[in-house]
Amino acid sequence: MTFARRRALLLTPDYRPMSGGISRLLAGLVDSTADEVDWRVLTSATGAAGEEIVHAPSLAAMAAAIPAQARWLRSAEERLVVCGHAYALPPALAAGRLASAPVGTIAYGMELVPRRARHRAVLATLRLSNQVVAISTHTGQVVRALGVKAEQTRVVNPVLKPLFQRDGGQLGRAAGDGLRLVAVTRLAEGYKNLELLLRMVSVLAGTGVVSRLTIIGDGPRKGALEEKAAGLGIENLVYFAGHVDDAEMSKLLSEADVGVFPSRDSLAEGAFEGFGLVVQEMASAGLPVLVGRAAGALDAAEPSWSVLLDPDDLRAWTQAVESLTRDEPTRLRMAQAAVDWAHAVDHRKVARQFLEALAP
Amino acid sequence: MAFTSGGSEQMTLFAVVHGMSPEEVLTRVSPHLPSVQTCKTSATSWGTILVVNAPSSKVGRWLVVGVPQACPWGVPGIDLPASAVAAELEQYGPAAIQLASGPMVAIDLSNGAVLRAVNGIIPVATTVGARWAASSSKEVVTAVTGMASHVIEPGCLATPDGTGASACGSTVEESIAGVTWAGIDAEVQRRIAPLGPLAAAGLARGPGVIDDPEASSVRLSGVAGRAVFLPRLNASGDGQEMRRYLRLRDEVLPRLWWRAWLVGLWLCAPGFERPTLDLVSMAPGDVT
Repeated sequence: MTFARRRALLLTPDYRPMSGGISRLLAGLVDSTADEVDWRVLTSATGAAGEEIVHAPSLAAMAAAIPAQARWLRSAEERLVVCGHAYALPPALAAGRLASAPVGTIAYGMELVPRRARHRAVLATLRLSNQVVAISTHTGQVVRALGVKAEQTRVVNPVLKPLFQRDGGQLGRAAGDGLRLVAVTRLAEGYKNLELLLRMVSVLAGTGVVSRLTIIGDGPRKGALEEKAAGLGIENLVYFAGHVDDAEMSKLLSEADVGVFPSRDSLAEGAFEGFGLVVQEMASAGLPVLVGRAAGALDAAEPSWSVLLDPDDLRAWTQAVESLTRDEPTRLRMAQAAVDWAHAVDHRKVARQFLEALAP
Repeated sequence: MAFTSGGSEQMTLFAVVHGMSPEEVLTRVSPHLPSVQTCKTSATSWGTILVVNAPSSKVGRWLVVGVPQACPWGVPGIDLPASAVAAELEQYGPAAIQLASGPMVAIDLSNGAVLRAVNGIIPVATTVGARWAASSSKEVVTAVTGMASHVIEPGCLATPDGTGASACGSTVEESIAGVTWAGIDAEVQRRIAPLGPLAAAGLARGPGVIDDPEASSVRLSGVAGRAVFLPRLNASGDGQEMRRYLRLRDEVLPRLWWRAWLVGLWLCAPGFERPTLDLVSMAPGDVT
């Protein structure tokens, strides 16, 4: 489909200046395709500002704004409604119907797991989208399990412009030093599997293999995790950095040697990673990354700079960390591959892939 | 549960006895030995180690007794050499017990300390006081020391000087929104599923046993000599799942281990291995 001049209406609760992967993905999509698409963004995100923004503080307000936005869309020959979050499906489908425009929905992961009856009702309408773009193979499977046909579903990995980038030449560590591990995660859910990291550090504690594990992020589990670390006798090796600003994040990543991302596909919690943007953020910071072989993180991990490990296999994680400690040439090769990969990322191309998949 | 034990609640898989020769230990322990046995004793500088009807492997100062499993969930299929577990303990210290799954115990040959597996399948009873012993059987400990004994927690190290502690951290209970007992049960069932349909191990009745309803949850795994204990973890349905879980781990599992062992089966218990324990620590429930 060739767009001479087309208009697209994006409906989303998440948009800049909100932090988070969804906000960044959608803003990147709009920015990177603005030369070929006139965008309007109908969003409830607090603080959202810009020529393209139509602010609607709630889903009800979003619905009320639909007729006017549909008229705006109808005046273009080629038009598209992008549903930026499954929970915005009702107004998005209404906009598509009023504007005679196809609806493309972006599916991430956990929003596809219904927690309440109204979520279930909204998700039942996902199949009414003309296209659903899943951000990972795993999310694509969840989408199809919700009744969306395979021919309606595309998978595009959201490889975004990195927030932090490190140049080569700063990647080494002093001989004899232990590894400095870093994890970036919310401290709210169990499937993030931080227990595995704490246990791994406790096993390696007396060996000098790990000099520090830094856990960046905050949430209601922080106290319990700190208590677990203390119970394992490793409180001196684990630093809970809490929520940090971008400058501090960049500093902490630059001071690390290896990133760790042990998330599970948890039946116990009904939770999983839709993709794992953090995996690629850590790689962009020049870190080899040990990644749990589960759910969407499989798509996020590039073989040149990552190692996939069973997220339940404590022995495998322990051995992998020990191996990277002892084999500095391999760690450096992976770190350089991560830097090279980050520099080669063409986020504009990825944005166009999303647009093409939303309206093939 | 109702069963007759013939005077012995748990038979002897191993015994570690300070200040006593192998001959003395055998004399005192013999009433608690099963009839068909391969009994190995080793004299050490501090006393005697007795191992009955079990494979064992020594690396450095660690002796590992039992059949560790390669799967972190302890699902039978591939045995991990006991020497591998012993080597990890030698390399990393007692905390390495967190890496191990399956029915096993580890003995520190330098001082006779005994490390119970995180899963708690095989109990470790010990004493406090001048005379020291540890065994899978409380009665054996009493027989060789003349003192009352107690069973240490899973993942704990029992040391002769009484300074032993947990090698795998203390329990921190959370109630994370979204984590359910039904979900934890499903996690275990998913790991077991590759084994296919499992036949009952037939432990509910047998010599000296009148009836033991919990034994119906022991299934043959399809792997020779390996059975699995598969109770439904969400069976209570009355908010008492955590209490029931701890009862299963602390009372039922060790009892069924020796019942299985007596008929030549090593009991595995995926519902009590480290990955499950971490999930259980996130589950709703209050044991206090």
